[in-house]
Amino acid sequence: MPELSLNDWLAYGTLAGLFLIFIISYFIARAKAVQNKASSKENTRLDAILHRSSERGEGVLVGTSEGAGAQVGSLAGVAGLQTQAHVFRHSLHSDLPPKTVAGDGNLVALSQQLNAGIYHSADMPELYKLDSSGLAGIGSYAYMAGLIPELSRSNLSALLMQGELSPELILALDAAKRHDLDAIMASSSLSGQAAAHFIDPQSALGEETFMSQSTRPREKAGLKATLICLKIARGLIVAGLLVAILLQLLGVLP
Amino acid sequence: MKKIVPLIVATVTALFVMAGIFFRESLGDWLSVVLNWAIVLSSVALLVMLARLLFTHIAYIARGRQGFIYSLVAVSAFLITLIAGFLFGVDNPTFLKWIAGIMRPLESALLGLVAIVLASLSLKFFYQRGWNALTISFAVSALVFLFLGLGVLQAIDYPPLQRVIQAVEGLPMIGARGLLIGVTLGAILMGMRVLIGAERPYDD
Repeated sequence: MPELSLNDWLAYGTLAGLFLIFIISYFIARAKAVQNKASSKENTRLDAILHRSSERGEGVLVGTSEGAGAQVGSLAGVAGLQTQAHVFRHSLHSDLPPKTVAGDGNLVALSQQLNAGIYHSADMPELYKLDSSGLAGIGSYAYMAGLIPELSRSNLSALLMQGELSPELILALDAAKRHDLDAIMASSSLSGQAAAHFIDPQSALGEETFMSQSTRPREKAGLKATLICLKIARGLIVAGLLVAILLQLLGVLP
Repeated sequence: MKKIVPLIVATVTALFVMAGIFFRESLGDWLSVVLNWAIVLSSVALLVMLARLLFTHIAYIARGRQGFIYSLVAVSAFLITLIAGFLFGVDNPTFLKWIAGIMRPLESALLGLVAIVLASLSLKFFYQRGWNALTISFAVSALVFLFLGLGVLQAIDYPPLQRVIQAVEGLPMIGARGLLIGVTLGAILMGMRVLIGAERPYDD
């Protein structure tokens, strides 16, 4: 085992504490979800887009990570896959089925597996098409070059992008605006977040990138537990900063 | 059973990788084996998806779909690069120079396009949102950093001014750190969700 400093112990202790709180709040939220199955219907921006596209018989394009290979990026890609699953679950009967593009072979493979599972669970495996998920291109520019032509598809109503996305996403967002498409952006890259926020003030910032929407009890419980842990972590960070300022003012810290 | 097995494999693998980081001396060799499996699997996934992309474009050409000329360019470029890579080797300097000669101008052109789109959007930003605290602070910071980027002030040998410049240049880093803490927290909690099976990206 490597030598750990006091800072390391504090960090690992905080993480372990967060993990415990996460597990406890997850199982409480799960139990509540089982007891109260008829949950209230949420009216989020994504749901509004999905309702609109279903009513009009239009499709939705989902873009996940561009495949930069970053560790945080791959987790954001996983969050993007959950959003994609939510979109597909709500568009099973749509005239024009949604489509997912990714910049990473793993993500495309996982996306195809998820989609096949969704159609199979809904007892309509014959509606599943292998090209509902595809590789756009590897690397940020190749990804954009593969994604932007997809926006010219007829009867498309929205572009949803969630994952590790560099500032080049602004090209896709601009193209979406020119095609009068609704657009939702969530990038785990800081420069990507800044670029997206520039066009869309409602785009995800910070930890919001990892919040994927779901109506399933398991995933909803996970999200509730995440929100509780985030509140606690934010409180700890603010308290830590205040204590550090106080200690510096008192001359304890250099 | 079909749902439980992938969950157990995912959770055990995640716990093993985490344990491997702490007990590197005893688990280091096994950790390399697991990571190599992951690399091999992701390479195979990429290969399969590339083949799928290629066949999709070939199908577009065969059907004569609108815009199939772009598919023709994509397939030709892919095959030429693949054959050249096999013939000369991927480390061959001529091959690398040839690839860079095509890729760099294309990427530079797209980068230029990003710059133009950003510039036009910054003008639209004021037009759409009017003059408020956000737009004014954006305008002021953009002008200040554009001016600092010229390097004129940095050339003046006056220590107090240099300290002010240093402090101003550090401001974006403060904001970035705030966002970075949020992203890291989100990533940690996403990892926890996958670890306990609340999120299953491999299964519906």
